[in-house]
Amino acid sequence: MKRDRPGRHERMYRLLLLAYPASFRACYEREMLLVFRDQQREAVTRDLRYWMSLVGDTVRSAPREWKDELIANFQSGARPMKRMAIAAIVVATFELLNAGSELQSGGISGRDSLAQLTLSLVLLSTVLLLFAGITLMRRGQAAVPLARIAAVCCLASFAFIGHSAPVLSGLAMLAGLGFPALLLLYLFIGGRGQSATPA
Amino acid sequence: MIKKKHQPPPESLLPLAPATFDIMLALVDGELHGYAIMKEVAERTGGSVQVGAGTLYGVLKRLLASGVVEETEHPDPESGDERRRYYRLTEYGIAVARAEAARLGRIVRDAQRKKLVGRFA
Repeated sequence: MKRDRPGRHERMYRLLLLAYPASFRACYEREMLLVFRDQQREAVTRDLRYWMSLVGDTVRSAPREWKDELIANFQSGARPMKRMAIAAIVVATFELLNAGSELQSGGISGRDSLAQLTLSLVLLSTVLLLFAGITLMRRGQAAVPLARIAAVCCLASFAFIGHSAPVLSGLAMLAGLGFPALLLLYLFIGGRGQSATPA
Repeated sequence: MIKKKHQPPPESLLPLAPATFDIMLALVDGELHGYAIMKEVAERTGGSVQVGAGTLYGVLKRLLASGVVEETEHPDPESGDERRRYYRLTEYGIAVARAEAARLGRIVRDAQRKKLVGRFA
């Protein structure tokens, strides 16, 4: 039987469902719409409290589905890992080029010991990030531990540079602190997705 | 046909979240579709527990993945024309529900011994 065009309430509900990941919607959107239509038949969807409870339910349940999606991607798919690997290589190359240009323009003086330490730290952390990116790309056994070490070294180095010798540009500092933090979070979430509990 | 896979002991899935156990309790009497599960939970708890559709299908997704619940699809006998997914507990799911009920029972008995609550009829 052909269904009528969805009403205003159903269109609003469909918009709300966009808060869930695409894979979850592919599986359950139709069922959730059937539930909504059942509730519509019982006329509860006109109540403001009903909509508030719908929003509350979405706010509580959608993040869990996104987390599951992220974990599933991390464990089974190579795509997000590959993206992280490419990002690590890009950030490392950018930091190397930026340090080189700062050295050339005199932003980092080669004779100053603090500047030399800064340069060494940038070099060390970017080389580690480069290796981490390459091993993540090849999905070697050492990829995850190496990426963790590289991210921690990079974070510590750039935090030290930002505190003691702020000679790098704002963008370089942002990339040097932000990307390793993101990488650590990604590796942490992926590592936690081993639980068998259905709760 | 559902392929049987190696399942961990039921106790390893405990404790269950309250919403998860409420949904499993709704399925103890037989298969139900999503909205019927929501209504059963609301009626059984006197409206004090309302499971939203997002929470319900999130929990069902995880219960399906762990082999606690299985699903079938057939038309709703009430509306007749729309095919719906029905969910039912597997034998493993019943064992998990029993284990959770026993765990909660032990907690209630401890609370009774400590005179926090009276004996239930």
